Amino acid sequence: MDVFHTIEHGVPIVGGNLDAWALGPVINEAYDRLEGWCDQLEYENVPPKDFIIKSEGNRRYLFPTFKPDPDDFSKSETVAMDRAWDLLMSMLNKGYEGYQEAKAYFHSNDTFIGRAYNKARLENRPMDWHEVIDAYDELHATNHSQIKTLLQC
Amino acid sequence: MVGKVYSIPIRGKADCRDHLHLVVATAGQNNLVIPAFGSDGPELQAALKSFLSVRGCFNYQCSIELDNNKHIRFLGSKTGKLATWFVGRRQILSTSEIEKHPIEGIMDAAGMLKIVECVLLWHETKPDDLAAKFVKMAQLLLGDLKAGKYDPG
Repeated sequence: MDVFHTIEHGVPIVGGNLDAWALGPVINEAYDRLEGWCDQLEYENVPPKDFIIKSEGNRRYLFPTFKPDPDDFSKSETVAMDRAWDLLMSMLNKGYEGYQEAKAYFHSNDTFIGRAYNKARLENRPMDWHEVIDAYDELHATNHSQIKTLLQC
Repeated sequence: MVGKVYSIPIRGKADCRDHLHLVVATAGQNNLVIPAFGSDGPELQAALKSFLSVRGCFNYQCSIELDNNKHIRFLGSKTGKLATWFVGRRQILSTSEIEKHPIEGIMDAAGMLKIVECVLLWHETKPDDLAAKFVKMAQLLLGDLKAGKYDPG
C-alpha cells in the first residue's frame, strides 16, 4: 500500500525504508513492530493492544480485536490499501500456488516492484523510491516524474 | 503532544536529514505531523512547483511560512529561522515513533493558528488526503485557538 500511495501521492502511509529482503520487499520498521508484539507475548506473556496472536507451527496469525473506524483513513489511503489488497489476495487466495505466484511477482523483472527490488538486492541496499517509480512508468507507460520531484523534498 | 515540535527525518527517504515536525492532531496512537523546511531550499521550491503542476494547488493551499524563532519556544540551544511548514507533505506517525526523536520546542498559539488554518485549507483543496478524524481534531483545535484555550504545556 505504501508503494501505491507513494507512486500516486508522493507520501507513504506507513513509511520507513523499503528493504530488499530475500523473500521480497519489507518495511523493516513495520516488521520490527510486529516482531516486537510477538516477542512480548512469547517472553513476557503480554499481548499487544488491539490484536490477538495465534501460533500455528512457525507461523503467527494476528487478528484485530476492533473494527477499524473509516474516519481513521483518508480516501487516498483507502484506495491504495484496496489496490494492494486486491493485488495480493488475487494471488494468495490460491494457496501454495498463489504463494509461489506472489514470490515470482516480487522477484520478476517483468513487474515494476520486482524490477526495483532486483536492482536494490543486487547492490545490497534499500529500495529507492525513484527506481520504483521509474520501473512503474516503464511498464505502465505512465509519467510520474513530478512525484519524484515531490520525493526530493 | 499537540503543539510539540520534534526533530524527525522525513520517512521514505534513505538519505534524508532531520526536519522539525509539529504535532497538529492526535487520534489514538496516531498523530498528524507537519514537517518544516528552510524556505530558501531549492528542493522545497521544486516540490512546491510540483504541487502546483501535479496536484493543482498553490503554495498558500499546501504550505505556510513562519519565523520559527518567533513562534517556537525552543527547549535547548537550537534557534529557529524562516521556515515553510509543508502541510501537503504531512505525515501520520505513531506516538511511540515520535517519542524516539528529540523534542525541540513548543509552538505558540499564533503559529499554531496559522498552521491549523493551512491544514484546513489543504483539506478543502484536497479532501481525499486527510482522514476525517484528523480533520475533526483540527477543526476543534481551531476553535480552541480562537477562543484562547490553546495550552500546549
